Amino acid sequence: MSNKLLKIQDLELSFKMYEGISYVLKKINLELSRGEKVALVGESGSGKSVTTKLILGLLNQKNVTKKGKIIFNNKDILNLSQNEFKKIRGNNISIIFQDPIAALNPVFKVKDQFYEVNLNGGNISKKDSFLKACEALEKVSIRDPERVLESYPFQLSGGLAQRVVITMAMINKPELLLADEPSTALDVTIQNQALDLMNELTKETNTAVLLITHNMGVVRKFAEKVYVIYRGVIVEEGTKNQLFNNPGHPYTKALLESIPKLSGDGLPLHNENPPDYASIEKYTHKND
Amino acid sequence: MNIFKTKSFYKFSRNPLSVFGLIIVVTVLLLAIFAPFITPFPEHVGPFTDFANKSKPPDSTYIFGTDKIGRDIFTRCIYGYRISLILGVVVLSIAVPIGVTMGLCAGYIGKKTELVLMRITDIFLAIPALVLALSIIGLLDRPNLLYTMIAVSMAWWPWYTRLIYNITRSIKTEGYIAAAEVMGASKFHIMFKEILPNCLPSLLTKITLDLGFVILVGSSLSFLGLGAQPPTPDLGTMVAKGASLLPDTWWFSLFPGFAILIVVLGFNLVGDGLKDMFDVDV
Amino acid sequence: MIKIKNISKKFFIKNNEVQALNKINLLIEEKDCFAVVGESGSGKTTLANIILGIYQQDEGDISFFEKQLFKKRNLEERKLIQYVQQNPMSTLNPKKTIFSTISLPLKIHKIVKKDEIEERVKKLLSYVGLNPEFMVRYPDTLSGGQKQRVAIARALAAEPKVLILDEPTSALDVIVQSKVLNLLLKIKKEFDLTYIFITHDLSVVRNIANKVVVMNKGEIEESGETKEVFLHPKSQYTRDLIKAIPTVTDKEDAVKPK
Repeated sequence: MSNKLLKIQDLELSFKMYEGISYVLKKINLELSRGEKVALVGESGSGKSVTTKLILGLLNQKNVTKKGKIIFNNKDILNLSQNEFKKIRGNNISIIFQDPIAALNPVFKVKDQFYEVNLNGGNISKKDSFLKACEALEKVSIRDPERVLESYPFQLSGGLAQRVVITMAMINKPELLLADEPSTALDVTIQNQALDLMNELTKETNTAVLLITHNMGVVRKFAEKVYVIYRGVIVEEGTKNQLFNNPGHPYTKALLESIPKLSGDGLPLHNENPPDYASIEKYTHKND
Repeated sequence: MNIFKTKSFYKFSRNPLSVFGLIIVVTVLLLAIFAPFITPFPEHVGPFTDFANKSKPPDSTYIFGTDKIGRDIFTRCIYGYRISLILGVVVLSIAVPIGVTMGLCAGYIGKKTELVLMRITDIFLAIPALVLALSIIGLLDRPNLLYTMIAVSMAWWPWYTRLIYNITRSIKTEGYIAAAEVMGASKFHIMFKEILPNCLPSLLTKITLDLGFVILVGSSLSFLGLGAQPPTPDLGTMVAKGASLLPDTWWFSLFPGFAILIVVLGFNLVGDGLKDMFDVDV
Repeated sequence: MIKIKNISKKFFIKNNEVQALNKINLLIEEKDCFAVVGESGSGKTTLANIILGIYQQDEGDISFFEKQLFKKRNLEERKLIQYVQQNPMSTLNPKKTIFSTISLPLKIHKIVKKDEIEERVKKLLSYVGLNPEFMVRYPDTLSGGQKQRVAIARALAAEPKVLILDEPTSALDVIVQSKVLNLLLKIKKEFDLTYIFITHDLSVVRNIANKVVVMNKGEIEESGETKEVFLHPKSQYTRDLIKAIPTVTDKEDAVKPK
């Protein structure tokens, strides 16, 4: 028995398409302990979002081939049936999406959506659900939770909606929170509030977080451990400090260099013919 | 390029029903085009009588049987397809350009143009197609095929205005339209060169679906005696003529009716296939 | 070169009046890389759209080389101000080849003779670092960065004096963003262009703009030389904004306001 909460072993994923087979993930290995904050960072098309979909069991189309293992709480969940997944989703694992307004169903009031989520945690009356939601929202310093609960999602501002979504994701005290670009659609000032809120709530319940993002700045602010993914391959793994102070893989170096710096050092010059980063061996920082 | 190996055809052919529809449509088209060579009695199309063989049930010579004056029903059905297809094509070639132009103008120019054009469209849409066509034919002289076509076209264009109007409204906000405006492109250019090409998938799908329906409405009008006049072989007229004699001489109505069903089904299946292929709503 | 005087603009959204711009004054000089920064709802895109002649302002004047500009513009006025927009997915017409996209401004403004159009399109494509063979392709076969390069080529085709860049790199991956920004700087030098750079990304502004104006809720919070504004921000809002930027090096944290 290992004490790891989530262990992804040699995960492979490919789609069969008209043009042929497209390999999206190639032997991904990733580990998460209880209460740990891990970031999976990569550019668009790197395979970071499909990884979350696999963890949630959302990829079941006929043209999908999956190999490897996703071990959650010592149980391989890669090929569970939808019914078994339903018990895990929203209860043991929950998720926050990029666009908070789109994540909420526009035709239901916020209180009804809380009720749906609360039902996952066991039978509960509508009234109790309302009170529970009220309490949770008050705790994240939303001043008038009753009004928020009686609103429709489009009546909320982006920042408020994201607080609601985060609260909703955390209300059943999940063991693992998947945050897929949780702050990308928000303005920078609100971005920080959302990250702080996530940090606070997960600490309380000792929830592990897998942060999926393309934004290195967000990674540096939030994560303890980082995996860098490029075209379906993990190219570098290490703690936050190791990775930012001493990046080992040429891709990570290029990525960090390319970010315009607030210190105003100008833009880097680029190699016109960059190497195929995916074929360069993975760089793993040693733990000391 | 081999069309059967393209990605579009792959998407289309994923649904076997669409392929089935395509086979029907192609067969019907070939039958209609080559009618004089395929049909056993091409002379039965005109004012021909053969009382020796009248009202014969289907047999090996007359596979669909013969009508009251001894004409081969199979031959007349195939020729009936010609009339139906011509009707469909003519109606849509009148209705589509009108509808598309009005839809583009209303959707892109907006403001008062939109208000006027769309209210006119609404008025036409408020009256059921068949009723509108009936009253237009009533207004025009004596019923004949040309009037039927004009009448059906008048009932049909508003649907295209609606479709194109909706697409135009959503495309109007796309970046490339703003780019063309800032560049100084004319309204005409933007409507017909930038927006229209983006409407084509939906338009083609709707035209295919509609061909079947237009044929159906045309046949309904013929059934009421408002379409092609005898002795022209028209499927709707043939059904009507036989209907009073049911069920004794069942083949008078059954086969022409079946012919209508087949062609409408064919166009609908192909239309549905195109809808999946282009991934559009119509 | 561009003078903006007392510009105001209101919108009506579901019977609510929203003041998108409130008495904005700006002076943009030739060869500036003038950054307009703000969060969503600050009015920065509205301002760009007024300069481009997509919206008409409610009050105030814009002048371009001492000549008044209105929403309705003649071809000559249209030619001189071009723009590159944010979303690479929507900036190119999916049903047109790259050739016909780039040749449109050449034809409208009669920049070159008919038989020289193809030559010019090839030249423009190589300027922006794309293979001239891209001409025959459709946008859906291009990556986001390549689409933005085509959009830049299209804007250059009209031979403008001013380029308005509305978040041109926000939707791109960082490595691609950095390459496109380098390209923009190169083009600016080569063609003596003036840039108006609309963005929410302060780190980008710090590295490419010489002047910056910070907008908040339709008003100007602060404006001045970029370095000055970043090192000694006067308004509290600017300070909060700079503080909130996610950073990747300790050196950056050191320059943030306390």
